[in-house]
Amino acid sequence: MIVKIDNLVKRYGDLIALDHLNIEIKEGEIFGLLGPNGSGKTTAINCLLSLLKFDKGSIKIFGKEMKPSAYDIKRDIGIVMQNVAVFDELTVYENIDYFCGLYVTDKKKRKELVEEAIEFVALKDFVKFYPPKLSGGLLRRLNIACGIAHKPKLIILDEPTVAVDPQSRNNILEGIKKLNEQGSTIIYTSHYMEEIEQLCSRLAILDKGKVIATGTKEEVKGMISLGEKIVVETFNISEDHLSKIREIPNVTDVELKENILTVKQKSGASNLVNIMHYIAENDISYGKIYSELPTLNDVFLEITGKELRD
Amino acid sequence: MSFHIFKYSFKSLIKDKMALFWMLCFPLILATFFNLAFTNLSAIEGFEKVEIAITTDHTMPEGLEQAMEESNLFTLSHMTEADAKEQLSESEITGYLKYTDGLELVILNTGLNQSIAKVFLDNYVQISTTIYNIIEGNPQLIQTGFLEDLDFSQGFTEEVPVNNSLDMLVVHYYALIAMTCLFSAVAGCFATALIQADQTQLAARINVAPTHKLKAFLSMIPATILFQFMSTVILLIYLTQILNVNFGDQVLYIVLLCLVGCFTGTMFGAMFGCLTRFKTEVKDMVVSNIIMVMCFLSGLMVLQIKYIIQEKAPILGYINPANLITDGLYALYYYDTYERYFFNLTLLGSLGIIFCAISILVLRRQKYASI
Repeated sequence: MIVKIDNLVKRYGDLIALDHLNIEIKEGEIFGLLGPNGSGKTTAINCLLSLLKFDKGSIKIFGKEMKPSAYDIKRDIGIVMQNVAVFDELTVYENIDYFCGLYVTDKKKRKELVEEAIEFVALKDFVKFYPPKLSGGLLRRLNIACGIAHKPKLIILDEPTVAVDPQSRNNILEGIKKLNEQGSTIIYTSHYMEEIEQLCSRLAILDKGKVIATGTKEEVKGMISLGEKIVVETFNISEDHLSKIREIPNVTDVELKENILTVKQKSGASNLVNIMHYIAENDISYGKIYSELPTLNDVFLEITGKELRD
Repeated sequence: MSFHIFKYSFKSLIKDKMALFWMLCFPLILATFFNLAFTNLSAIEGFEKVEIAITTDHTMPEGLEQAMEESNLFTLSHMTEADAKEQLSESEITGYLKYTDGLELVILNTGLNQSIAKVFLDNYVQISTTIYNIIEGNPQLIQTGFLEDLDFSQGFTEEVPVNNSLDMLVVHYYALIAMTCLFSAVAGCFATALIQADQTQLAARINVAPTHKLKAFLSMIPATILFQFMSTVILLIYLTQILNVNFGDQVLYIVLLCLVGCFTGTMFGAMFGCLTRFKTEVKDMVVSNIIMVMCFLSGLMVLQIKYIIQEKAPILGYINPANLITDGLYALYYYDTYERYFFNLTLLGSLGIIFCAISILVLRRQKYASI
């Protein structure tokens, strides 16, 4: 195990930010921490990095107890903060060199690492730029370069794509995959389920400081009773038809909202053919029909009764 | 200490436009304004000798002319009464002296110069009459050396060795230098914001790195002191070389006091930054206001405040770094000896060391309950 968080409790007065949190992260994986805003993701990361003191529990990284003075552990960790944390008065190159220099004292080696990091985030044309002159996407890339230049074994990215345009977001996600391929273990926190689905090999869903589901994407989705969803765009469906559809075997729920009919199935069951057949037999006019597998949002919804983005 | 952190801290200060303005440009601008104001002030307050003509138509009392010359108050000229009248009407002279029934000062207008001449002559007449009367009654007094022992002025002040080579206006520039030194408190305060993980994201990032918090702190602080000291030296060069302010031969002592002042100012800011839990911007604002209050209490704006504090609450003077700097600089101005200067220097340095020790102790123990 690269990271082992055991029974972690963190309170802010009466508020329990982390409630007996247990997480294990294996070497070489991209581990996603998913949860809505305020679910405890950033608090968990801050405790993991010994930036925050916690009330109970233990944190082990690389098999050793993590504490503020654990410099041997810190040397192999890279952090990319939620907000861009760079010096406005230093150029792109100087910023990366500054943060890399906190980990690597050898000048020659550092120069190589800084240049590699610049290459990695594709900021070669901007090395002499000052951060206030960079666009949001470029700033995010600089933020990442500052966190990974020293080639850490464990990289923690705390919502690195917040307020980033789609193109830069894709670049960042591709970069993270590359870092993982180069051997780094990644912890990725986000409230965007699509990113976690796209990126992570394993994940934990957090709500109110608790892990409510953990495992691979498939394992997590398998934890709920919901199977596929069939979505039909219809124009003349009556209440009577809806009642009939509800009677089709394995259908768990039928919902009509603004001409969009959503038919939910039990896990493992498929009713696409049956639904299409019913629509054709009853002369119900329709636009498009498609089937959807459950998303992490469905998992979150079924477990907590609320949407991830609530 | 990490040279890497020191180098980049110094670089970021040099490139920080706000820091450059407040810590370097602002004192230079103030110095320029001071210079403009003081030049006019000198012109206004400069004493011009009173132009007095002595008429040659009459014989003047013996010793009068010598007394007038020795007073350094008058520029004397000799001419006939007719010429004197003409010059007086053309305002070329303030007045003229004639001696008919007695000593007489003829003036055309009233004013300061006319008053000076009148008071001097009244005094002269009174004293000479008194001496004349005494000697007339007791002529033997001349043999006993009465005239040599005569002293009409009584001194009430104790003589101290003072240095008169400096211009009084230099004191105002000393005040400006002191203020510049203490501006380093703002940068010192900001340096601690880069160490405390709950203050800025940058600090959190630095705290995550395998660099000891105190090592980072002790690398950033010298950069701040050096930057502020350089600003002060630039100000000194500007004052002496461009504005031609004469600091006499005390420059090295001033530089030494400035260095210690920058150290104490920086450490005060650092201590304030460690002990308070406001947002960084609020801290910067509060610390700069505290510095201005310190400067006010040390008489930088109103000189009398300094003496009121010295009289009513002297302890406040001893714990106020601004007062110690100005007092050290005043001591250089007033005294030929360095006793008082070194006393202030030692107190100032001690305060800096105390501030530094408190900062280190607080930073070492600090753990964050929230970020």
